[in-house]
Formats: sequence, C-alpha cells, structure tokens
Amino acid sequence: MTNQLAPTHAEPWAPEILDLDSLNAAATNAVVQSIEDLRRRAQARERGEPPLAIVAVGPAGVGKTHLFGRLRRKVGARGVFVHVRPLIGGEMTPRFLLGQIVQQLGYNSYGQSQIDVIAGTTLALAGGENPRFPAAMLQQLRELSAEERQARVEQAIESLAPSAAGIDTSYLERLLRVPFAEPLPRTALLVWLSGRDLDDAQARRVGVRDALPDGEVISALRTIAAVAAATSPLVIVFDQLENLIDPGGSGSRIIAYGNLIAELVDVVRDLVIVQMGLSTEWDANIERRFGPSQRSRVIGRRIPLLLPTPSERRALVELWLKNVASPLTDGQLATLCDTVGLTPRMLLEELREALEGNAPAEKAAEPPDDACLAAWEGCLAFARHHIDEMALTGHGPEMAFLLEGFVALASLLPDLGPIKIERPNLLRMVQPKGPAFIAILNQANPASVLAFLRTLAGLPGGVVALRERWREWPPTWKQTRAQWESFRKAPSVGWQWLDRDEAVNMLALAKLLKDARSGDVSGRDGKSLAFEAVKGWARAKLEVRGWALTQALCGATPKEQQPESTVLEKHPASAAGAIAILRALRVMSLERLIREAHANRADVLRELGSSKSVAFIGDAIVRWVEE
Amino acid sequence: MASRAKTIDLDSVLPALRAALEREKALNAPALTKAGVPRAQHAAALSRLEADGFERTPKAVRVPLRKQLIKNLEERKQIAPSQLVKAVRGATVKEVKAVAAALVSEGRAKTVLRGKVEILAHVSAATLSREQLVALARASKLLATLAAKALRRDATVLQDDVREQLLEFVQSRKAVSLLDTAVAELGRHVRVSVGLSFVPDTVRALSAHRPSEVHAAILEAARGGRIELQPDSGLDRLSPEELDLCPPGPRGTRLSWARLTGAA
Repeated sequence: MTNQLAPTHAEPWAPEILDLDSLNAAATNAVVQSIEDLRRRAQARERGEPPLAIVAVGPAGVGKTHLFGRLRRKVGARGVFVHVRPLIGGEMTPRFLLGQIVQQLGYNSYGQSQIDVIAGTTLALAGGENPRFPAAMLQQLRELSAEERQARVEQAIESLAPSAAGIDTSYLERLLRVPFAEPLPRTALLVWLSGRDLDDAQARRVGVRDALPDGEVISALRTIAAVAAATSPLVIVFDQLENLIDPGGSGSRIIAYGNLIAELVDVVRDLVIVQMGLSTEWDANIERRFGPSQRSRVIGRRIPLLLPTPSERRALVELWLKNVASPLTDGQLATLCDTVGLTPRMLLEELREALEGNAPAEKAAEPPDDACLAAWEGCLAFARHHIDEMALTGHGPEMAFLLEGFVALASLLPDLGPIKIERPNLLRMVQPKGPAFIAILNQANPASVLAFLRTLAGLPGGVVALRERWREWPPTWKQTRAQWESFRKAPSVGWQWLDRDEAVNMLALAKLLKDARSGDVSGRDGKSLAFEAVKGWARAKLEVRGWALTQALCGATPKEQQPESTVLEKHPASAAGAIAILRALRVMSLERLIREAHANRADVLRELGSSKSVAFIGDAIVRWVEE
Repeated sequence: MASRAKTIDLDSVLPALRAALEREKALNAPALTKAGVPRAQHAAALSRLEADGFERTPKAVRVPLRKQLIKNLEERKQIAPSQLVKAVRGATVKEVKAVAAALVSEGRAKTVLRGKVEILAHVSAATLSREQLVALARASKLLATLAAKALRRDATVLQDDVREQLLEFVQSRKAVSLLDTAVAELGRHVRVSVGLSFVPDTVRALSAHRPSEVHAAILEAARGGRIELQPDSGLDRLSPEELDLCPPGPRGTRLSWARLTGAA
C-alpha cells in the first residue's frame, strides 16, 4: 500500500509525477517565462542579451529535483531538458556537459525523444510548417526518399546558418540526421555528437576519422542551443551544487564551475540555466568563491523555493492519498499541516509511517542503517542502468562517473590518501603506498589505446591499469593486444579487468556520497542523515577494503594473482560459447557476438533463442538478463 | 406523438461541473440546467457529485460546509456573526452555526467576544486563556474598587500599582511586540545570496531577550503566516552555538532560515 507513496518525484526522469501546481508556482513560472522569452527572441531573430542564469536554493526535501520533473511536464515539447549533477572528483568540463546533454536528448520526455523534438521542430520551422507537431513532421520526412530528405536537411541548415552565429554546420547536419538513422548509425551519430570516442565501425558510419576535437566542443554546445532556441529551447538544470564544495580544498571546482557557466552564458548564449542547491551551502561556501565576472554570469536571477503552506500541505496529502484511505484523523491531519518548517519530503515520510502504523517512539529508535541500505540499493540501480545504457553505445560507464568513484573510494580509506584526477582517464595517488597512478583504458578504438599505452609507459612509479571486462579487446585488434600483453607484464604495472559488479559499486558509491552531501539520504524520521554518518556506514558496511580494486590500489594484488586470460579466451569459440560470452559481457551487438563466437548467424540465433536469459533490444543488440 | 426528453452523457459535463463547484462553492438546479444538464438528469448528476465528495442538500450541491468555513477562517482569521452565512455558499444560518460550534468544540476555532459581539476566530488568534480571563476579572474588580475609593477621597493611585495588577497582561503585550520586533529584525538580516534571513543573526540581535522568548515569537510569526521558517540542511556546518539559536523544527531539525512573506 505504501508503494503509492514511493518517492518518484525525487527521480528527475520519472515518466509521471504527482504534482501540485500551486507549490513553487512562482519558481516554475520564472523558468517557463525565461523559456518563452528565449523562444520569442530566437523566432524574431533578435540578438539581445542571453537569458539570465537562475539560482534557486532551498532546504533538503523542498522539491528541487521535483521541480525538474514539473518543468518537463509543464513545458512538454516546447523545451528540451537536461539534468546535471556536479562531479565530486573533478571539474565539469564542456565535453562532460556535452556528453550529458546529448545522452539526455536521447531520453523520452512525455512520449517524445527530445532529439526528435529538436530535429522535428527545426525541420518544420525551416520548411515553413507548424513546429508544434515534431513527430508528424518527422513521419512526413521519413516517407520521402533519402535524397529528398537530405535536401530538406540542407535547406534547414541554409536557413539557420545566417541567423545563428557560431554554429557548426557539420555538427548540425548530423544532429538533424539522427531521427532518420537506422539503429546502428543512430547510435554512432549519438556517440560522435556527445563528443565521445568512436570505434572504427562507428567512425565509418558517421563518416569521420576521430571523435569531436576539443576545439569544437563549445561550437557543438552552441549549435544545439541555437537550433533548439527557436522552437524548444535547451534548459540545463544543475542540481545538488553543494557537491562542488571540496571541504578544506582550494575551491577550484567551484571556480571551474563558475567559468563553465560564464562560457555558457557568453558563448553558447541561447539556453536557460537553472542552478539548484542547499541554502546554507550556497550562502556559506559557493557564492562567495565566485569572482565578480563569474558572479555577474552565474547569478543572473534568484528565485526562492518555498515550503508548502498549510493549505498546500493538505492538498498534497489529498493528492498522495488519492486511492488510499487516510490513516490520519482530522485532528492529526490539521496538526501535521500546521507544523512549522515541514518540507514535502517530511510530510511524505509522516504519511508513509502513518500508513505503516509506526509509532513515534519507533521512529526515534530506528538506526540509520536501513535508510543507508535503501539509498545504497537505489544507487546500485542507477549505476546498473547507466552501465547498460552506455553499453548499448559500445562504451563503458561515463569516465567522469568512474573517476569520481575512485575519489569516493579513497575518501573512505584514509590510509590510501587522496586521489587527484590528472587527465580524463588517469588518476594520481597523492601519497602512494602502492602504485602512483590509476589508468583506465576505456578507449573505443585501437589507435587511441596504443597512444595511451605509450603515455603510460613513460609514467614514473607504478600504475594500476584497468579496462571494463565486458569490453575486452576484439580479436581484430592484434597489434593492440600484443602491445597490451607486453605492457601488462611490466613489473611496475598491475593489471585489472574491471568487472561489471565492481564498476557498479564504484558508480553507486560516488552517487551515495553525493546524495548524502545534498541531504538526500534521509532516515525514517524524514531528517537528512549527516554526511559523516552515511560515510561511516559505507566504510563499515560496504567492506570496501575487500574490493578487488582497493586491493589493487594498495598494491596488495601479487603479480601472479593478476588475471591473464580474457573472457573470450576462456570460452570456446562456438555457437554454444556465444551464451557464455554474452553472460560475461552482458550487452553487445549481435554482429560482435557472431564474430566473437566464430559461428554462423543461424546457429548463434538458435542458441540464443534457447535461453530465457537472453533479451533483444531491437534487432541488433542482445542483452543478458538475470533469471 | 410524445417526444422523449433529451439525455446527455454526464461524464462529458462532470469535469465542468466540478470546476464550477470549486469556483462557486455551490450549484443549484438552475445552475445545473445552465451547465447543460437536463432536468431529468439533475438527480443523477447530484449523486455523481456527491460521490466525488461534495455535499448534497435538498436543492443543491456544495463544497462541504466544513471545508468552506475552515478555508475562510484560514484566510480571514476572524468572522463576525453577521458574516458567517455570507462566508459560505449554499447553506442555511442554522447549518453554518452548527458547523462553527463543532469547529470550536474540536479546538479548530475559537469563540471570541469583541465588545458586544461574539466572533468566530482562527485557532492561531492570540487570545487569553481561561486562567488569564479569571485573573483579569479579579484584577479589574480590585482596580475598579481602588479607583472608586480614590475618587471618593479625592486621591489618586500610583501607575506602578495599576501596572503591577495588570502585569500578566502587560507581559502578554510585550510578547506581541517582541513578535513585531523579531519580524522587523529578520527583515534587517536578509542575506542577499539566498534571499533569506539567517535566524541566529536575529536571535543575537535581540540578545536583550532570552532565546526561548525570541524563538516563541518567531514561531508565532510563522504560524501567523508572516514568515516562512525553513529547516537547516547544510553539511553540519552550523556551530553548536548557532544550533542553539535556531528554534526547533519538526523531526529534530533546527529552523535556521526565515523568509518574509510580506503578510502583515
């Protein structure tokens, strides 16, 4: 029964949310107005000042993340939304932001893929048609021949280019092609658009040789924003900004964030920026770190986030208990609704407890373990989903997320000392007791791996190097494999295949600590658990010292115990071996599975069909599901 | 040939009827007809609305009387007897009086005497307790006797003696004025970075009063809707001294931030 009260409103991409329009209506209207103003200005092709970046702060549980869901629901296809949380290990770079934007443009928001909305509305507007029906526009274009469709895309680019200064037409052309592409080319296009590394097949499909160069990332951001502005403006919501704070640190991440926002405001221009965080942290530690020029960009407009009034609390209770008999008497409800300082999250917890019949005494006595465990399980689910989602593109987890996992792990193990991010896939141990560096060989093509191996060979001190086990070297990468073999055998190198479960743990750990910093891990009493309490729980209960990665970082994995064979070598090449390979690698393209199994398509398909643990995603991707 | 009365699909008009009810608070038969419900289907429409939680009367349907009265009290704080029936829609004087009496007996409202008139007041209204009323009656009697004697003897009385007799009520007045002072002080301590007032700043500024008195005043201001108090949720950054300066909030929290609502 209490499932009805599950906190989906704290999940930014929940398909549906229970919402009370009057709550934080002023904040909602301010953002919506900003979106409308930007659209009107872009349609009129006026240059004007960029939209003011919005700052919205409040206490934990006031409904900040819920506000994101509310905006998606309210604005619908008349805006595209991106939800970004800062990294705890490193700085947010434009490339990281581009990756997050393109990934979330691929998400459905109220029935439509956001990238389809951008492409559909842009093509409609350029063709003089109604941009309010992007799906219909795309359907109409799908019925054209490839040549006719390409002509429409080019016509759109020609009409947009003169009015939107600084856009990258080749990026735009690929962006507009996404909705019409077959699954594999679509994936390749999205990987390239997101600024990530491509494998050779993906590069061929996109028609490029390399990933988007650093110098073109800001142009790519500008292109997305400028194209979306006239129809469905881009709204980036930065949430949990308190995670920018580095206790005892130099504040470099806050300054880097300020620079990123300044660049978005000054160069990318045509987008709406919303920044959310905790009042106390914003006041005491974030705003005061910005210099005057950053401040003028970051703090364009402040909007308060309000607690519900007594009548709004009553309405919220009615909304949440719509299909459930109220467990409260009129008197209890009146007392609850009149309580000073009650946030929506606390109200929800009160109702949940009332439905479960918990007495107040039980609340106070309950240890925080259950709350931490519940939060941990949520983080694990997030991490698994992310890894599966990225595997569909042929990639491992977002590198920045994995790196912050290492930083989080180090924060639980004081004897390990702090870890600093040197490069996007290289970490340095500040006080090494074992290896001095951690390297992640996540590259998608052999040339990049070889280049990285050469870099690693020149590093002083030992290095722990790893790659996702489910992304082992393809058999065709013979030179890479040979180079890796000699690298792996060097005395200063500790090699680790990163198992999926370990990767899940690392991502989940970083998320748990981020949520704890933001006051989003709350006990049964609805009160946010102290960050140190959650950290203490993680240290005590997750047994991080026993994780294989911890052992490797401490230099405790003897060379002879380090894995030598790869999963592909362990499993015989045959149709029957296809199941074992898929089970180990979890998600892969059917083409690759056939290639790795050295069997013909019909035999592999027959073998896959005989297992209940095999699921297809479309025709091209195959996935292992737990029984 | 007799023609059959036209019927409509009630589902198509019910959303409009519900919206009209929320707006108008009550709908009678002519209003239903005007909304497109044939007379023959009035009873069915009324039943459907009743099932939705609205209150049915012999001739109409209304937003539950109790709900109407509570909402009015929350907004207006006080309702004079002459205004009671005007404050709600679709009810008789007798019905409204019965609901008002029920709210008073449940502690959701208060009956307050102002001059010769008994009014219905919101439960948050600052009023005297029964013990305070007894004390006031006793003090008034003593002072009346003293004043009469003084007049008869062509003498006077010391202000301090009167003040002493009314001390309890003078203190009560002081609490009210502390509330105003606290709200004004919160207004002076708004931090631009967050648009909120940090409560410990205000409590420190009012150090002539005990923190518990200031807390009581601030909480009273929040209950009266003049300010909104928010629980602290920083990363345990408040010092023990600052925590002590924040009034206690729900579920063990401390209320560290206040927002002025602009309400008088």
